[in-house]
Amino acid sequence: MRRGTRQPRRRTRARAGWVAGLALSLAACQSSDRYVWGDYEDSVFRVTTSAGEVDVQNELAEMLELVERAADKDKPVPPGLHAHLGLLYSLAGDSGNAEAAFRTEMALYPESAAFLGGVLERAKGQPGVPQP
Amino acid sequence: MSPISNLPQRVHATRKHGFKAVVSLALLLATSACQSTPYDYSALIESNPKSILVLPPLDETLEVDASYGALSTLTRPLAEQGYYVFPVAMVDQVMRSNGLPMPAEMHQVPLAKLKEIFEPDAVLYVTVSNWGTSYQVLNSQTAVTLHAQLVDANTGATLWQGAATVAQNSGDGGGGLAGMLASALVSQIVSSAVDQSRDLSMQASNMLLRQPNRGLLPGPYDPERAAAVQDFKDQMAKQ
Repeated sequence: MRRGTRQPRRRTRARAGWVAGLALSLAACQSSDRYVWGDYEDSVFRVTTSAGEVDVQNELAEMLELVERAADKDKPVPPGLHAHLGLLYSLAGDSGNAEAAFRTEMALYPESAAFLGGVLERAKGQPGVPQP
Repeated sequence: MSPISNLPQRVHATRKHGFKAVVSLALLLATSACQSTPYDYSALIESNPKSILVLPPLDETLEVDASYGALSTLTRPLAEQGYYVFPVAMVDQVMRSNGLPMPAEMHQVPLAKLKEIFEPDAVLYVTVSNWGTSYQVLNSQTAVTLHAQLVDANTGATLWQGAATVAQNSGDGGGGLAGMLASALVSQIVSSAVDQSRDLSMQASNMLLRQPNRGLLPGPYDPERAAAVQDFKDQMAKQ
């Protein structure tokens, strides 16, 4: 019975050791981040799960803050971030800023040029907002 | 008795040394995991993709957030590995406005069509086979399992594939190594119990895509790519 009551405490200590060791060694396996991520992943989740009901102004404010913070740190924003901004602008009905954001993405990451160039091309056919 | 089950006694005998022993054993195990026989990266190296199109994951769980919860955690590990990742929310929007509202339908789009619209070098197809919390008699377990396949957008050849599970037990019912690993990592991210599954998904994505010798090799934006490719070739030559 005594044994039974003491065992869990020892186990907890051993476990704390494991946890600390693993956390340390995993941190050692991976270098620090290349990009400033901010709230980008959360914004992706909110935008894709909101069924069109997302608070676009709030998302725009968050993403613009991320762009600023990255500039302050002199680090790049993640691939796709400016295209995501373009999507948000176009959802807000601001076609001018949407196009500018898509062009920034294309300039930063030429890999996106065919896709976003196509989006802008198709949008020219119809006046107003570029429809992704 | 295995060395691991002996550890509690040592901790009890000399607490300080015992703790150190435990930590160093954990370090040893974790480091050796970094050095196991590597995945065969020959096809990936030959194809050398720079840009990756990630489609919204296929969901086998029927959990409402599984597909898009997992999608939101895939960009970061891929980008940090040095690949260009197409903007996932925008890609999803384009698919939906082209009459493809469900991930299952998006996964059916022929490569040639994806190539025409997005021009990616490779496409990542992900399936979520575990998402969320299951309740047992004494405790609950939250688990996320992701399977992924990277396909050459030009040839359709499989360049890489992998799977990862991260699980966390609520009770102290002995979650095993995976459970402890997960709780260590999750507590680092300051989990808001509200979305524990997404926290676990971040860890699963990281493990899936960045684990040395199992995940993807570093991509073109990573200065360590050349060294990693050479390292793989050296290991192959030794065998």
